[in-house]
Amino acid sequence: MHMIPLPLSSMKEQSGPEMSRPLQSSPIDTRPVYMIDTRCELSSSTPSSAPLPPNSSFPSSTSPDKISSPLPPSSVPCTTTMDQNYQQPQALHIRLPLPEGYLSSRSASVQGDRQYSSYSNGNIEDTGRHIESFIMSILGYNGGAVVAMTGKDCVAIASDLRFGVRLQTISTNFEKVFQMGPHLFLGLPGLATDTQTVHQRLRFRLNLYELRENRRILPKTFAAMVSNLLYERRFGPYFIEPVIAGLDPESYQPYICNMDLIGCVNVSKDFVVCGTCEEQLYGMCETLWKPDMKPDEVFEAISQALVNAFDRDAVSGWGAVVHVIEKDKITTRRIKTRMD
Amino acid sequence: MASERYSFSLTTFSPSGKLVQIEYALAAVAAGAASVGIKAANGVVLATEKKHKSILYEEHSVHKIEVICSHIGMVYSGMGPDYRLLVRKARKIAQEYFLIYKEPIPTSQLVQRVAMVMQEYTQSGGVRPFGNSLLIAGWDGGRPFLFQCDPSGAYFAWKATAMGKNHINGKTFLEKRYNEQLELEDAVHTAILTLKEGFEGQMTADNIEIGICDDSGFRRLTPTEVKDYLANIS
Repeated sequence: MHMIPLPLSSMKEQSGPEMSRPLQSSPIDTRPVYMIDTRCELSSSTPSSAPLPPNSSFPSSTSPDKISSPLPPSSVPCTTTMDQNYQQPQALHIRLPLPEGYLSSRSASVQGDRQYSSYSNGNIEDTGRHIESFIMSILGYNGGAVVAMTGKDCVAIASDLRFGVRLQTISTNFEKVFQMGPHLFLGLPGLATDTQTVHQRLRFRLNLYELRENRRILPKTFAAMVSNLLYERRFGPYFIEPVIAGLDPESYQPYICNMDLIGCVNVSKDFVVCGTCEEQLYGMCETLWKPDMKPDEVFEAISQALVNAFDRDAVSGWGAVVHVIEKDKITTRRIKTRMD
Repeated sequence: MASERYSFSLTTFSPSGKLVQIEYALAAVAAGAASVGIKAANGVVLATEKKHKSILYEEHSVHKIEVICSHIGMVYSGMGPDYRLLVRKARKIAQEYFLIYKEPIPTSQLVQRVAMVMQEYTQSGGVRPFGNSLLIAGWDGGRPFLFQCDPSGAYFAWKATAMGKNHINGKTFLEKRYNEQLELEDAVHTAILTLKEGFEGQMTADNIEIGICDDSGFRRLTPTEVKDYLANIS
């Protein structure tokens, strides 16, 4: 895990009285609603014609509309595999109740410079330093983020699609999540060259394992294998932070974990996040995750979490891919997101 | 350096296509002390005779049945010192596997890798094949396993087998006695009776050794437990 030093000014900002108020203090239906517009237009193989829900009139007067100016819908085709019956949700707006005073203080800081994190409080120099500290780290050199979430008898893993060199975007078609078995996926955010190398080396080890033992690997065994590979390079590590998501081949129990670049495994029962917008992902996942979600709910939650997290990060985003792993099917969807 | 140039393998094909060194190794096994393995419905039993050359030996100081890891155990027929090396290698293989996968080694994997070691000793320079065969008993995935591993590196999965002295008679005896529904307790009795087939002299808790493997793992029976089994038989 990489720590990003926050500018001191933002620390002060965060400890202000309006920020320390707990979210639960406000009753849900009377508060102003902060609309998170993901602009992630899902497309599936069948175009849906359902009308928009009544509360999806975005931007609303209460929302800080500087956060997102409408973009023309992109025409990137969506690849939907194995799932012909998926009912696509029409509007992907979530309503988060917010404490009083939040909007005024927050939107003021956001209006200063929308493109960057609101940590900056509109101060370009601080913003610059914040981003620089990130992309100067070799882990954040190419940018990218991966998140995995559990549901009821299913797991989902998603990544962004950007490949860049520092702030320059080179490609928007760089997948960081790989299928390693019928119910097993591996996400490798970090330095792109190591993403590819580690993927190849794990594929090599996994192929040998499956031939030798004549059986499919368990997700937790695969995690141990990844951890072993990474720790072999303890003093010259691969600059990736893997995420593993899968279902047990026998019990179909969900398994997710992530690890640091030298293979310290962290198993989780709810969600795991890795990549350049890790902090934002934590926030989104903590808000959106709930126990025993159904596959389409997991998909919704993970997509919202990822898209809204990387929209607050300059070096990840530019499209996303989401895999939902269930006992009898795997659904892979590409999500259209803002491309700036 | 100069000596390395001439240290080629001792096991060279004979004109008739045999590796006589391996056949001699198998002869060493057949001349060794008898050992028996039986797979029951709920476990595996390994039994072996452990005759001492002199009554002055401290009987329970040396063991022929060894634990490899919590759920795998092993016994041999043939040469004792060679066995110690194989035990050490097997234990190391099991721990290395656990280190990589954080999962206990499946018995078939251990057998495969031990057999690989034994095969290497039939082809390497400056070494001879092992003078013993192994019986490896294990429990994984809720199932018992019993394997035999020969000096050539060949390995077999058995329901029940006998090795060493009188192994032909032992196998015939087992063929008559064995059935798939056998419980572990009965399997221990059958194993003792099989050993008794070719046993010279009185069988006591001091001159046989028994190991059992079930869902709680592998363990060697104490002389007192062996004594109880022997008392039940006669």
